[in-house]
Amino acid sequence: MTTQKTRSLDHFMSNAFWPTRIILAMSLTVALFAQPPAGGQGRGGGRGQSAPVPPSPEGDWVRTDPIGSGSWDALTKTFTPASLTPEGAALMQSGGRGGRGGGRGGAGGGGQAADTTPHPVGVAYLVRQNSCTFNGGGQLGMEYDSEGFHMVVSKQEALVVQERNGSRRIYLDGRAIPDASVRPPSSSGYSVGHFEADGTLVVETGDMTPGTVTAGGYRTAETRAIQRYIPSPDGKHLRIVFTWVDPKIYQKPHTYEYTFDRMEPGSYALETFCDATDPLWNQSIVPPEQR
Amino acid sequence: MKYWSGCRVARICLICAASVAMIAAQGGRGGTPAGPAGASGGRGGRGGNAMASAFDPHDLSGYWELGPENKSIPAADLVPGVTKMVLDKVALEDAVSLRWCRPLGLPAVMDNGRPLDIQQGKWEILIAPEANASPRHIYFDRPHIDPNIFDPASVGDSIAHWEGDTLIVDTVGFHPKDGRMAIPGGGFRTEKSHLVERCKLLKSGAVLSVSFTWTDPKVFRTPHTYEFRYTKAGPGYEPRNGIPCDPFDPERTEFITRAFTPAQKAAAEAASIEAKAAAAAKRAAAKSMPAKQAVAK
Repeated sequence: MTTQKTRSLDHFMSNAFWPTRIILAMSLTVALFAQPPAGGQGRGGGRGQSAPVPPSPEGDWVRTDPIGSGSWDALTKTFTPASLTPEGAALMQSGGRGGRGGGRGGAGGGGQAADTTPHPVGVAYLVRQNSCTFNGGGQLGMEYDSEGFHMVVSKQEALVVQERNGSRRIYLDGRAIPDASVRPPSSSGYSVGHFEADGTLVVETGDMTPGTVTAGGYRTAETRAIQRYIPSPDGKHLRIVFTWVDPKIYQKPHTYEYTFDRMEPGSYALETFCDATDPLWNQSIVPPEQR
Repeated sequence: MKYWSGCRVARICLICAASVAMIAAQGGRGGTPAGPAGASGGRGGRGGNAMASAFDPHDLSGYWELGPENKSIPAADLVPGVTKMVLDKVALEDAVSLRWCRPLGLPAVMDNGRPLDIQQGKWEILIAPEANASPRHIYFDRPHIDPNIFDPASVGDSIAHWEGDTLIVDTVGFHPKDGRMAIPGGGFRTEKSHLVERCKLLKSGAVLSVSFTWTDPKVFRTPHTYEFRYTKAGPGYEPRNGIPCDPFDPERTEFITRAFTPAQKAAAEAASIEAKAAAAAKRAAAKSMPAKQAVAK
């Protein structure tokens, strides 16, 4: 980007009247050295500021619902289903139906099986769907649910969190995905990335736990996922294009995408505080007394 | 010829100056002061370890470990109203939180026994702990959220700015119950507490000093300050998963509550949803009971 800007500037200046060139160059220099106003640069068009945001996946994002169904299942049904190899189809059959196991993360998930045993009428009982067990995973999944996500880009990594425990990091320091035998596979795998000139973040992930993938796919530790985080030129929108590659599982790369909007100025990350003693968290049900 | 050569040189210099300014302006956006180029903004950085090891006093990014010998914690100066009974009640609540694997919150998250992943971006610093705790968002680009609309959190609402080479992090908006309440050195957090952290890199970036100052007129007679000095983990360090905590594991429960006082044990048991449901059923039964019978009971 800087090289292009410099070239354009050089071209412009070589054709400008010389004193004008000096004035322009000095003005530009002064302007560029000037600091952003107190309070810093805004987000999403400015947190109280009107400064534009650069095209970057950094920031706070909420997933959009292009078909307006309000349902993740309905949204993903619009995706082109995966073309599986016979081996991939066999893995799907043995590894679970449909689902989104390969997708969304479950940090802090845990959970116990729902109580499906019969209960006498009028007797209170509990249905526990989420026990707030901290399973130690601390990892987000590969996809982001309706909580949206928050990404910070430092010099060495892109750190992603949602509004609950757990995080995902994408190393930007040029390292390769290491041998899978070094560490146990995880829900969001091991990710490395780099930026392209237009601000797109290209992320390659391997070493993921086996499981289903959105729109009829499957993954193993050997599967590679390529995610392209593509910001709009005005920085206000984002597409994440997924491409799952595994010749053992897919006849052709399995691709789909989600879209996101940058959160409004003044928004902030909420906290999801999972409390095992909170009846609401545990989805407990105490039926009304039967008469 | 010479004149034009001079102009050409001058022009090149101007272009260079403009380019440098451009880079500086891009890098310096966000929370950093004028300071070094790319202090907070920088993405890219594919130079690997060489890039990562370059010391920038305005970039706190890294994996930071807190050794047991790197804490300086004086005793807090508490107001007279903070009696032993009050402190015991706080300790009891924290024991219940421990028993039920509730997320840590502040201040416990800053000393959780595992390294902190601190990454600094354009608009915020994100702290992702390897523990059962919510991430911390420390925003550069805004004032505190209006308390009338802010949802209190165990980690509060944090904003930051640079004063020279020190990052000042200001946190309010604490949840009245969520998270561990005890503060190192004595005292506890309330929803009115105010925390100021002064963060500074020492030893050419190898050490991160964080000085915590708590003020809360209901708890502290004078501001309570203590300091942690985190050591930067080596370049090969990779964050790991947290250590599991299962509130429904009876073996763990027995182990954890073994050291509890009888009151803490009772409170921990009473916190379970089963106990709450039983108590609710009992109350409901009592309400539907004929008055005479209820009195007789």
